[in-house]
Amino acid sequence: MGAVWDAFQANDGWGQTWTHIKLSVTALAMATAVGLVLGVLCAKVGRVAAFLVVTVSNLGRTVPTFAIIALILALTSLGFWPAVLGLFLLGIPPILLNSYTGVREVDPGIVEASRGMGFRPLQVLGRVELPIAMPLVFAGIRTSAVQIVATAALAGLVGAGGLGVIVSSGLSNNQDDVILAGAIPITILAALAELVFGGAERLATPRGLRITRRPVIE
Amino acid sequence: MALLTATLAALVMLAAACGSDDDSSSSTSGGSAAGDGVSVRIADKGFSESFIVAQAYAQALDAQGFDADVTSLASTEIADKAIRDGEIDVYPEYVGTSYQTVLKLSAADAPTSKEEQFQQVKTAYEQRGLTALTPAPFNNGNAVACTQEAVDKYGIKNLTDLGKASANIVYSANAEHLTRPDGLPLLKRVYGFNPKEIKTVDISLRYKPIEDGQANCVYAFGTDPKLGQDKLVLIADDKGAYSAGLSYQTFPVVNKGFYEGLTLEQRTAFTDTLDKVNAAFTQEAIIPLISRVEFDKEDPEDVANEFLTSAGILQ
Repeated sequence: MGAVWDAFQANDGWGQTWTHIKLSVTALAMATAVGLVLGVLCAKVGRVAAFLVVTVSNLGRTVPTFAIIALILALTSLGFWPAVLGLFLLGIPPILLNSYTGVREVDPGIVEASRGMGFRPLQVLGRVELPIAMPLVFAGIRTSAVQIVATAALAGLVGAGGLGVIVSSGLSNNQDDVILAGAIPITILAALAELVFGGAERLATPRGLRITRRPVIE
Repeated sequence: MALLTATLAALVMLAAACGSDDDSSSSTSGGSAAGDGVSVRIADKGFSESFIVAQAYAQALDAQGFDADVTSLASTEIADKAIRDGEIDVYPEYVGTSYQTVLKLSAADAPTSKEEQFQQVKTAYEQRGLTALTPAPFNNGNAVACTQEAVDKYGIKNLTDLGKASANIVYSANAEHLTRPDGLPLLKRVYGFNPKEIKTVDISLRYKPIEDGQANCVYAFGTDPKLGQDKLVLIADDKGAYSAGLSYQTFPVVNKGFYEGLTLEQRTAFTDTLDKVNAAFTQEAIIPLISRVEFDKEDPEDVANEFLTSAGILQ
């Protein structure tokens, strides 16, 4: 373990961890904004447009992130933003699909009731539909976050830095301590993302839903 | 056109030699300068540098009255098998590749002097039925290259200067180089090279940060054609530690049966010709040639011909 710690320090482990976090957070923030807006729009507009966006987004999940990054690289240059762009595209589908499903699946009776109470469409969305969809939206963000943190290791190949650099160095020279010095922090970051957004998911669940849902989960 | 001239010259020489009486037991008809029209099967390993060297061998040997032709083989393993089986007679190989890939010796145990490394390969090759001739001076080994601008601005003449200029250097390298004992760790330890920033990229993308203006120095191999294309300067190794790894000089591997089957006169002509060609292949000479083949898509045959002519090996 001492050797791993030494390798972590010798290879600018803290700096690379910070870069890794910056890459992931930036990409996740962008993906959340775009995914949420698109998902809600899709749920609100006609079925055909929704079908298109959801299908494209689903297809997008099958394209390897490395291919996306390579493509972006061919169009732009090396460094932070090309890598963020690739991770951003990777992060959109889970958030988009969950937002779409979340808003779509709100009990029509509840929507009907809120309209009956005199809510305007935006109020229905903001006060009823979105809060009810929130747990699912956060589940999507959580999935994206874990994927982005894990995939950000690829950024090391395109000049964006991050913990992937340490892993690749170790892999190509057969240095186990160096591999672990990169892999362990990535694992920790991914687990942290899971914990943080799992917690956020629970917090975001409206109290009324928590009560009714508990028996379903257990 | 140059090729045509060279071919004509070779023919004229052949014709001239026909008249002379010679005592060789030449196996082929037609007759001869020193080469007596003996056929030489040369192989390259399928990439620009190898194309050029193999072509140069072939054309220089043709000019001496041998009858050389070149085929392309895919890999070191295949070339090694083909030459031991006598399916080819000559191919250019790297000392370091012979050492590690062919002879399966560990780079860590290699002697530090390039001459000793070559001698070790030569001796081992003798026992495998192969003769190793003198290597060319160019070395495709580890190097650092910087932009002309960085070299001028920070007064970088050698790796020690580079170490002193560390705070101004953005270094492009692949991940392997960063922790490989004979890579960046050695540059840090011996030359105090601690670049301000490192752009880590895939090995095939090393020159992109330079081209995009994001880096000013790069981990290079001595004859990377990109060096010529991007007008980069190779930084001299003043302490000899960084370039002390395995030598990537090229030498002709010759099938021993073929080599010893030549008459003394033919063998002398054969060896002298290859020695002359190899001696002309300096670092400065070969980089632009590779660049022309790799990026300007010129025919290796023409490039080699021009090179031999300017080196005075072909008239």
